[in-house]
Parts: sequence; structure tokens; C-alpha cells
Amino acid sequence: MLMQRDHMPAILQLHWLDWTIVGLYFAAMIAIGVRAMRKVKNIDDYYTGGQSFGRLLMILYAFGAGTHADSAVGVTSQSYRLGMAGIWYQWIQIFNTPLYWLLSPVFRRARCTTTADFYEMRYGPSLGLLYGFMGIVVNIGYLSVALLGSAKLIESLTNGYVGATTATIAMTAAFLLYSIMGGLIAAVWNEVVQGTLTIVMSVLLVPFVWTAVGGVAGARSKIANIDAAFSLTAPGEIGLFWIIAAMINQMFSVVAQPHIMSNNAAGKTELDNRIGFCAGVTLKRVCTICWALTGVLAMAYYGADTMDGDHVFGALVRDLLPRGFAGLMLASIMASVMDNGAVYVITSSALFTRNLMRMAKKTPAFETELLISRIFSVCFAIAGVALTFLHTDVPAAMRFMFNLVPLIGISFWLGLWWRRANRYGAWASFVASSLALIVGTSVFEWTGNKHFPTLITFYLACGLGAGVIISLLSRPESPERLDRFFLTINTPVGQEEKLAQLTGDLA
Amino acid sequence: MMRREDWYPRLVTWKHWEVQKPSRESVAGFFIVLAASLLLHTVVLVICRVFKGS
Repeated sequence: MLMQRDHMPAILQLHWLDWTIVGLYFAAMIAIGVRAMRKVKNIDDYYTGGQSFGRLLMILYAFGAGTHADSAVGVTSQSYRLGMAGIWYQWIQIFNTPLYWLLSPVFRRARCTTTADFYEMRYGPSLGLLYGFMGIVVNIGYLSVALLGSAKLIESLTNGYVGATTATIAMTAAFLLYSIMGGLIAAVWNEVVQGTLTIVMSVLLVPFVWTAVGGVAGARSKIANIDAAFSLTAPGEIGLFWIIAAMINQMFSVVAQPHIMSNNAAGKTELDNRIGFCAGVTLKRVCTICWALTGVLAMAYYGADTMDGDHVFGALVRDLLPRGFAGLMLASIMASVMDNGAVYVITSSALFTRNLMRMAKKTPAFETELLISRIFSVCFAIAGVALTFLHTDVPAAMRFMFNLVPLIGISFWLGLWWRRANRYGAWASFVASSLALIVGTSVFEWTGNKHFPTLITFYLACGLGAGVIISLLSRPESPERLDRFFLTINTPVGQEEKLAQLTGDLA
Repeated sequence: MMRREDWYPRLVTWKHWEVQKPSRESVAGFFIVLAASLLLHTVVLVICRVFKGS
């Protein structure tokens, strides 16, 4: 059910004021991109922003990098369908966040440009190569989910006049132009604007839906089964097993995200990174409450199961917020895709030029590397768009990513905590968990919410088991490599002389 | 040459394990973030309770 606002002089179902706001927004973003382009003086500025960002920027960067339109669309969609239990699609990190505080310094202290460098430092070049490929695949997946969520939102905001396909292609062109211009500096500044807009829009929608529904009394009278709608579990779909399995899975996922390195290393100090990452993630949880509540209240406003869940968030913005806000939301979505797309493109091109090309013994000059990374960006975007068309809906696309990323994250934890873990075990954990995922989805047909925790348990158990057994059966990594790795990740940035002395002693 | 054990203390002394003993800043921050997480979860539980009316 896509409604149309009365008496509205509409261009593609949006008021002229909405389009003016979109235009102004884009002018500002292009100005930021041009300004950022002037600051890119070397390849590290392009990839990690030269470790120059303060606390507030890091909070909004962490929030923005982890929050896309698909987050709002997916949670609202699931909450509209399942009730408050839909919140778990983004709420699973709530009890993991304190662990991120402990984990954050590891990435900064590793002194790596890409996550693949981290794997290479711990396990040797072959794992760096594996992560290089896998990281690019993961980024293509993330991009496709972000594009799908945003395209669905634009489709519903414009009442179907701008189709998902057109929206996808327009957004791809926008973020490609943006990332090619300014690298991570442009992306981080965009996160600040987009992050602020996303928070405002997420919080702002709640009082409007609340009033339209008639508050608590209205919701109780309009929602058929209020107890089920406001339960944090959905029988047969999201239960305690689902929640615990998804939380554990998330710990294997968060460490293997290709942008985790810049998320935790782009700040000026270790504390800036810690506060930025944890506060950014927590801020997202505040928005998650708003998205879930919005989804459940939409049951009362539109009636349950009267529209595609993916369209609920956009329809509410269009139908309930004053003129101009739909334009602001549209601008916010575009900004979200632009900066997330930019981050994915930048981290992927870093993986390609830094890790994969290095395997081919190529060390190009800065200008050549920048040119190669920009050409690669275009190929990467095409792959992302192609994958977008294979997803059926936003929650399914999110589950696809929940399952894909941890496959390479198992070896991260083994390597971080267990000296005996070696490259053979790391390869075995990746191969075994990948095979288990394929067998689970194709042979046992463990798909959808119902079988989600069983599938997670199966591939994590296979990956961990194979990693441990093969490591024990094969030759350990050299003590020099292990000592160098553990000394590095335990020495804060700034104590380089001591580190050099220690690693020099090892040599 | 400085020994590894002198450079960073480990939380457990099990063979082959490298779980580092967290600093005071790490422990304090952990509990602050945990408190914030529990507070947010309580907010969700309160919202559910208010709407259910129980």
C-alpha cells in the first residue's frame, strides 16, 4: 500500500521543497569531496585518512560506517512483520559492545593499512592473499545490501515512481564519483553529515507515528495481538537460541570486516579510537530502538501485512513527516550510500593494490597506485550492483552477510589468542566453515530465520574444529613471527623505539 | 633481550595462550560500556512492558 499525500504539486511524488533540499545537500557534498581531494597527498591519506581524526569524528565515522539505509529498512521491515523481536537484526551487538572496547586497540597497534596485512603478519603471505580476495567479496556483499536497502527506501519515498533499479544505478554513479575524488578523508567527513542526519530522521519519526497511532492506547486497540507484537521473541522465528547464536556469530564477523582497520586506526589516539568505535556502535543501538518501535507502530497505522515490509520505513516518512523531510531523508539515504560505498570501494582498492598486487611483485608509484585503485573501484561497483539484483529482500540480504563474513573471522580469533594456531589451521577453518555453510544451505536447506542459529552453530563448529585439529597436526609458525606479532599488537602506537628494539632483538 | 613476559602480562598462564591482562583503562571502559548497553536494553524492556500493559 503506497499512499499519496493530498494536494501536493509533485515531481516523482515529492514536493519541490524536497528536491530543493536534495539539491542543496548534493552541492555541499561535492564541495566536501573537492576539499578532501586537495588533502590527499599520499596513499595512506587516501586509505586511512593519515590517522588525523578526533573523537567526535570517530564516533560519527563508526556510526556511519556501520549504519546504512538497509539497517533502518531491515529492522523496521522485520519489526513490522514479527513485532519487537525484529529488533534483534541490529540489537545482537548490544552485549558485544563492551568487548569491542577491549578489542579496539589491537587494530591500531597492528600498524596495518588493511585487514589483510594483519592476517599476513600473523599467518604469512598466503593468508594475506586469502583475506585480500575474501575482503573484496565481503565488501561487494555489503555494498549490494546497502544499495538494495537504499533503493527500496527511495522506491517507497517516491511512491514507486523511481524504481529500485534506477535508484541503484543513480546511487552507484554518485558514490563512485565521490570516492574517486577524495578517498577516506571525503568519506569520513560525509559520515559526519550522514550520521547526524540518520540519527535525526530515526528519532524524529517516532513522535509522528506515535501521534498518528494514538499513543499506547491507540496501539493497544489497533494491534490484534499486542503481547506478541511487544515480545522480544517470535515463536518459530527468533528465540533465545537465535539470539545467542547471532551474538557469537557477530564476534567472528566484526573482526573480519574490511573497514574495521580504518574504523579503529584513523583516530589521533588509542582512546579516541576506543571511544569512537564503542560510542558509534552504541549510538546505532539508540537508533535501532526507534526503528523497531516505528516498525511495530506501523502495524497499527497501516494494519499488519498490508504492504511489503521493506517499504514501511519510507512510506512512513512520506506519509507522516512535514514537507521537506522526505527530501532530507532522500538526501540522507544518498549520503549513506555515498559514504558507505566510498568506504567499501576504498578498503577494497587498498586490498587490491596493497595485498593482491604485491603478490604479483608489483610496487607501483603513488600516482599509478591511485589510478589503478580508481579503475578497480569501477569494476568493484559493477560487481556490487550485479549482486544487488540477486537478493530477494533486505532481511534475507542481511542474513546472507551475517553468514558470509565470519568464515574468515574464525582464524582471526584463533590467531589472536592461541600461539599454536598456524596458516594450515587458518586455511582449514576457512575451507571447513565455507563447506559447512554450503552444505547447510544447499543440502539441509537451513534457510530463513527458523534455521539461522542451527546454520551458524554448524559452520562455526566445523571452522573452529578444523582450525584447531589441523593446527595441532601441522608445523607451528616460527617463534620469531609469533613473538614479532604479539609484541606488535601489545605495544601502543608511539612506543616505536621500544618496539624496534624488541623486534630488532628478535631479528 | 627483554623477555616476552616482561613486556606484557598475560591473563592466563596456559601454554600457547596469549590472552593479555587488560589495563585499568580497559577494565574501567569495559564496565562503562557494559552499563550503557544494559541501560539501553532496559529501555527496550520498559517499552515492551508499557505497551503490553503488564
